[in-house]
Amino acid sequence: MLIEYVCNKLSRVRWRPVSDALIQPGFETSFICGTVDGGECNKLMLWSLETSSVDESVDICLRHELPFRGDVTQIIAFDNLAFVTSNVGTGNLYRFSEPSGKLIEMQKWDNLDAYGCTDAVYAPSLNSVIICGKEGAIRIVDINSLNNEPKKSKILSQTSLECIEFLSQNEVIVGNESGHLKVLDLRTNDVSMSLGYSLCIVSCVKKNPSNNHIIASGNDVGVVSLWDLRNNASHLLHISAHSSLISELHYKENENNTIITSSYDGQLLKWILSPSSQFKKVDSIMGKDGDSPINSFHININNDLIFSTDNEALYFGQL
Amino acid sequence: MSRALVSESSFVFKEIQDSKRSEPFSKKDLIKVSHKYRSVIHAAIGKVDARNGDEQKLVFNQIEIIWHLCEILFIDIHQTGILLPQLLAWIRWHHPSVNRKTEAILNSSTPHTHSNYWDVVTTFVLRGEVENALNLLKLHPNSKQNEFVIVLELLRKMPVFGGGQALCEYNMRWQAWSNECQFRFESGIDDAHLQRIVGLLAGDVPTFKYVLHLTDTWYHLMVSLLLYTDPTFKEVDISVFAQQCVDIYLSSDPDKELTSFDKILIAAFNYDLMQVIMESSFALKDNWWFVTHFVDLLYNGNLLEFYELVEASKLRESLILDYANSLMSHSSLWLIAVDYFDACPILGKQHLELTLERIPIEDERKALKIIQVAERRNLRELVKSVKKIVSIKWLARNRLGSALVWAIRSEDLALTTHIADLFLKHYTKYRKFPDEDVLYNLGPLMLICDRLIFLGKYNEFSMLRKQCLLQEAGEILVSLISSKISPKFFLPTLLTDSIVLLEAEKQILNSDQTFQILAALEDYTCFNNSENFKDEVDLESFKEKEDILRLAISRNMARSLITL
Repeated sequence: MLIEYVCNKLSRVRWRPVSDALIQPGFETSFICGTVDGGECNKLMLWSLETSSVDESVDICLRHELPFRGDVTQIIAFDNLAFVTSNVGTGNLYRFSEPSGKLIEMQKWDNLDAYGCTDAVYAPSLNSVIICGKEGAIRIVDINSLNNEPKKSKILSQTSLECIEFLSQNEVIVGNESGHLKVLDLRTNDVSMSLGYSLCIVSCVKKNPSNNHIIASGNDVGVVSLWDLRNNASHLLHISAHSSLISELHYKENENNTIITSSYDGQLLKWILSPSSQFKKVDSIMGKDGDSPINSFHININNDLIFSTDNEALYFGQL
Repeated sequence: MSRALVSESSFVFKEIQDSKRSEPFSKKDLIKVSHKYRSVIHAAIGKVDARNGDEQKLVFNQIEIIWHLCEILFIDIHQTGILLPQLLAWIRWHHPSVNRKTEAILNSSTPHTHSNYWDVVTTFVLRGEVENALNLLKLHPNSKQNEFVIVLELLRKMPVFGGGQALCEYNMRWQAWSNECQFRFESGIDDAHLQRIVGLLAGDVPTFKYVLHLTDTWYHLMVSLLLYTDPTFKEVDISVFAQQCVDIYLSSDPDKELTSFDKILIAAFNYDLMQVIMESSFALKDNWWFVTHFVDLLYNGNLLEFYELVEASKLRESLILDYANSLMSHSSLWLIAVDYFDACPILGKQHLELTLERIPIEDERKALKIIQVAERRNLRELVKSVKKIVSIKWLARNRLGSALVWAIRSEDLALTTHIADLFLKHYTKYRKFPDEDVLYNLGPLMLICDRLIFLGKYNEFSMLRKQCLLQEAGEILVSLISSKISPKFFLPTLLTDSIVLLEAEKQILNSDQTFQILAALEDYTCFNNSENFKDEVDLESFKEKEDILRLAISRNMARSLITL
């Protein structure tokens, strides 16, 4: 594990995605980070991994940084763009500029959510970014027509929406502060399904990459839940995975039954499930209970792992 | 204060605290940790912000020098008591400028004519880097001449201590070599540069004074002087040497004064640990970084007792507390400070509680982190108060859903009751709750207070009614009416709700239940008449419903008598 002391609390780390058209040497190895808790001095940083030609050792290098207003709550990188949301309700769209290796601001929205944006997701079929926030509504930013005012849904919840995932062409699922997962039909703007079982904060939600109807969610008391949205929605599994809030949850690329979770309890865990979505085994990737909170992690298709902790360290390793 | 230094060193600090040992750190472990700290400072120098970095760089450099010296004097003590090799390494490490100069000389076509040539050779001699001095001298075109050969020979023969050599044997060899140097020096060499080098080798103090500009500090002068006058000096003598060199240094230039940095080093050479701590905490502008970490390190190796510091654990704790409190003044270093508070067994928890209370909570995620820290340390009141603050924040924004969620989490009776009342008032006005998700997921959490039980049960009733499960709904409604936990302002709503059930096509409420409703209605009207109920409008509208209700009650009563 390579460790870099970044002198900032990183709330989100995201690999820059690779698209077929853009494959070039060294391209894969950059990632973007956003900071939290920096008062007036929050920022976005673009880092890259550089391999030494002498001994093949890898080094993490800062390539570009720029100031950002508010705590960064989510970064989504797609194509050649990055959309960044903040807890003061702003959203910024950036473009990765080549070959200078910089982030260039393209557009800025000042008031996407009155109380602060919490999460965002990219919907490829709509070429839109869908943002949820503490107001309890979602906003849809159309990347094709940036100058149009983002579309706003009605208020879906009287508690904050904490996380969002794109399900299919017309559906998104959101998790809220009172323990509910709601499936929203974007055409009718109606909640078509609402799932919940306890008064907790649903902190993250992800769909299974190959079975769109299987949903994994994490909450603030450290429980990972699996849901099947077919047949009137049933919950498949609850595992008390962590002792504190699950900050991020991702399915491993190309492995439908592997979930990786990070938590404020300081652990990064890998969950292996059976094909019938039953718990099989768990491995600890990093950390032990009581370590500094892990705020964010991300894995790219090469199984390169980056994650950031609250004591201002950034880790890089192979999964 | 550099953030890199703070955050990186906190890792080392935590590592020390986490390694729960029954035994104190061994010398080997201490040295290892000490090296880690030094590399953290060294890395921090590299990361100093270029804009206002000069002063900070200087402070960090000084800390690095002090730490290294203290490591040599207080931790990494050689068995033989011979300090010189370590002190030479110390000087070399912290005066790296000569390397740059050497490079420039080697890059020139005629090195010996380079303006720095003799300075660099002399510096190498002063630092005991004989090999380097030899190599440079060999580049001189005259190096085959007699005078050069003599000097080269002297340098080559210089005895070096080490490799299992007996001390007395080394002393004898060194004495013989030194005598030869003195002889050569006294017989004189024509070349002034060479004569000066031999003077240094012979330990001739005036020669050292002559090249004082090459030993830019008094401690450099001291180490060089010791190297050629008394290489096997003992610890006990070093404070006297230090003082002598300070005097030489000061007398060379009337403008020179001892800085607080010099005073710290002098205190260290005097083996006065307390003085080092005092001077450093007073003089270094590092928010007590150095003293905190160094004292903690010594403490963990039981060395504070060894150096006879009184109340060692209290000293350590007060330094750590000061340092941690200084971190708290920064908006985002509070989580790092927590590790430091944790390391204080006596007052750490109290300080932590006081400081956590003062952290502004702008965001729920931050609140959750504070809560997590507090929960792990059993600070229950703090956990509750943070949750309460978040709830009140949402209440101020009139977002009742979030406010109730956080109030329930805070387990605050008054606040939860208040918000539950607001939910019920909202219902009386709009016939729906501001947020049903919260109520749906209440579960056993509703047991926190009576009003919440009422709210949860009423929500259950209204859901059953929606699903047309009137029998079950009726039972809940009657139990709500008869249990008398309903707030007065909500009674009209409850009673009105009963009309539908009383008037239902199929009989739902039996005579007993109907009586309960009637009793509640009587109580309510009685209460209104006696207490001058203020809400006139509500009263008016209920007056109309009261008649309907009474009618419904009597009809249902009649119906139930028939079925009896």
